[in-house]
Amino acid sequence: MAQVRLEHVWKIYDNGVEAVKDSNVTVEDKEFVVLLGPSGCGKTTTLRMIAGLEEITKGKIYIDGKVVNDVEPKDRDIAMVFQNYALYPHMTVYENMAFGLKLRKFPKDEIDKRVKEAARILGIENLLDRKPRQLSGGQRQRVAVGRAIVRNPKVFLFDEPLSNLDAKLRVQMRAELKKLHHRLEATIVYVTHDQVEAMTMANKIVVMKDGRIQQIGDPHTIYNKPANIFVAGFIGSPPMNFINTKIVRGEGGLWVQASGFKVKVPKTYEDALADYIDKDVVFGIRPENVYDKMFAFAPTEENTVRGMVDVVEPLGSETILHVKIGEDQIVAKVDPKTKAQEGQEIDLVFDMEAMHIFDKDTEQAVI
Amino acid sequence: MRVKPYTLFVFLLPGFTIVGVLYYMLIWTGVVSTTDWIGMAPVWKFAGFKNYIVLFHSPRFWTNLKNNMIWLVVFVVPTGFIGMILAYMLDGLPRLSKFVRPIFFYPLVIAPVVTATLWAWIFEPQNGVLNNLLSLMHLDFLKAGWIADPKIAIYCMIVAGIWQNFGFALVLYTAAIGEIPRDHIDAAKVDGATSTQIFFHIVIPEISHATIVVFSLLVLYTLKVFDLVWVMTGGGPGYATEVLPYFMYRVTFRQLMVGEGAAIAMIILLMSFVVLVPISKWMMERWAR
Repeated sequence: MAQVRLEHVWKIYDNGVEAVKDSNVTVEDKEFVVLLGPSGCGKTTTLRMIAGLEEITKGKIYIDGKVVNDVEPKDRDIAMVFQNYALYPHMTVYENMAFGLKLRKFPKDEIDKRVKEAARILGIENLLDRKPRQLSGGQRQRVAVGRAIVRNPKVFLFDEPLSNLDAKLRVQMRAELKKLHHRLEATIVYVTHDQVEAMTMANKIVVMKDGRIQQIGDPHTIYNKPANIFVAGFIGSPPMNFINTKIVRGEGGLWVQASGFKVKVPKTYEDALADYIDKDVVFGIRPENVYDKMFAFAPTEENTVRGMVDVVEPLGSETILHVKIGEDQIVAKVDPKTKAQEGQEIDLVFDMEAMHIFDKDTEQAVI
Repeated sequence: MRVKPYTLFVFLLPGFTIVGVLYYMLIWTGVVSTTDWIGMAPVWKFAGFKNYIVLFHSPRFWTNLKNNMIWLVVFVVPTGFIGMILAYMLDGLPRLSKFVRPIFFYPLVIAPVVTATLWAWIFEPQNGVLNNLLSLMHLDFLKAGWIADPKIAIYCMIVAGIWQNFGFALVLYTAAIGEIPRDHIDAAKVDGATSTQIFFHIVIPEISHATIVVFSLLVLYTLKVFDLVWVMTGGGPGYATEVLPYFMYRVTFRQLMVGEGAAIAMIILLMSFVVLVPISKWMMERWAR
C-alpha cells in the first residue's frame, strides 16, 4: 500500500476549460479519502489523473513517493472501480477478475487462488461462470470490486461505484466497502457526490467545487467547522439555514440581528466577531441545531425566536418544520412529538454554540 | 388500438407483392434450369438435370467456381481487416479521422464501372500507370502483365475490389467501435493491457456483431461480383478471370442458352443460401432479444 500526493495539479482541456485548479491533496497510506462535490466539480477528472487515464496539464502526482505523471496506467499499480462497473461483456465473472492477472503473466494456480479468495470475500463464488449480463446491479458491483482486489494494488480508485444501485443496496454496499477497507488495509480514493457516502466511509473528505478544493478534513471537521458557505451548504440534510444578518452591539454583548429576530452571540465567539460589528454577515445554523421550545434544554429569551409554521414534514424519527420568521425562512429538524401545526405560531430555540458566521463578500467562515 | 385485419392487409400488400415477384422469379428460374429453352423461341423441352450435368462436366464452370473461391478468400478477409484496423486506429485520432474518413469512403460511392475503368488503366500492361511508375522508379524488374497475365489478373481485380469496399467495412466498424463503452477500454488500460492487447481482448470481441455483418455482406459481394470483371478483363485472358455471375450472363444472353444460365443462377443462389440462412437467423434472434 502507498501514499498518493497531488502537488499543484491542474487540468486544462484543449478548449480552455479548467477542470481541476491547483489541487494539493495527500492521501496517506491505508487512508480512505473521499473526493466530494457536485457534478462538474473536477472530482472524477482528479481520479482519472491519478489513474493515468487523463493527462496532467500542470503539477505533479506522486504514488509511493515517485512522480507518475508520465507513467502508463498499467505501470502505476492501481485498480479502479468504474461507475458503470465496466465489466467485459464477453468474459465470465471469473475471466473478468482474472484478466488483469493474466496480462501480468501470473501463474495459473496463483490466478485461481486469488480469484477464488476474492470471490469468497465478496460472496460471489456461485457466480464465477456467469456472464455480466446475467447478473443484477449489486452482483456486478461486487465483481467490479473483485476485479480490483485480486490484483492487490497499491491504491484503489472508486469512481461513484454506488450511484447505479437502489437505495437499500447502496446502504448495504456502503457498509461492505467500509469493512473491506479495514480488511484489506488499502489506500482508497473514492469519488462521490453523495455526502452520506462521504461522511460514513471517509477518513478524510476533500470537498471540491468548480475544479477547486474547498476544504480538506475529517468528516467531523467538515460537518462542524465548514470552511465556507459552499461546504456548509453541501454537507448536511436538510442543508444549513443561511440568513443575511448584521452583528450589533446590544444588551450584554453582541447580537445577531435578522429581519425578524435577534439572538445573542455566545461570549466565546465575541472576539472573533470584533471586526464585524455593524457589518452585514451571513448567519448559518443547521436544522438539527434548531429546537421546538417544548423540547429544548435551555430556552432563554436570548436564543428563542417566534415564527409562523409554513410546512410540517413528519418523517417518523423526526419532523422537519419550515418556519417563516420575518422575511426569512428557517428549516428546523425537531422532535417528532412536536405539536407544531401549519399556519400556527411556534417558538424555536437556537443552539447558539453551534452557530456559524460567514463573511458576506468572501463567503469564508468567520466562526 | 385495435387495427382491422383488412387495414393490415392493405399495408402489407406492397411488401407481399415485391416478395411475391421475387419468389415467382426464383421458382421460374428453377423451372427454366430444367429445360433446354433458348430464350427467343416460344418452345422448350424438359431436360431434367442435363444442364447441371453439362455444367459439372465443363472445366470452364470449375475455373469459375475456383475464381469465386479465390475472391472469397483473398478479397473478404483483407477488406474486412483493413476496415477494422483503420477504424480502430482512427478512433484514437478524432481530428484526423474527421478528415480522412470521407476520403476512405469515396471509393464506395463511385460507380463500380468507374472504379473498374480506373484500375484497368492503372494495371494496363503497355501504358498503365503502375508499370510507368515502376519504370520511373527504376524498378523495371517488378513490371508485369497485370490484367493481361492469366496468373495475376484476378488478383489485380481483387485489389480494385478491396479499394472499393474497405470503406464500407470502415464505416460499419467505426460505428461498432464507437459503441464500445469508454470505460471498458479504460478498465483494460488499468488492468494492464497494451493497445494491441486491448484490440484483441476487448475491441474484437465487443464488435463481433459488426464482424458478422461485414463479413457476410462481403461474402455476398463476391458471389455477385460482375462489373469489375466485365470492364477490367471481360473474363479474360481466355476465361481465366471469369466468375459465376459473369459466366451466367454470358451463357444466358450471349450464347442464348437460357436453361444452362438458369442452372448457374440456381447454383449461385444455393451458395448464397449457405451464407445467408445462418446469418439471417442469427440477426433475427439478436433483434428479438
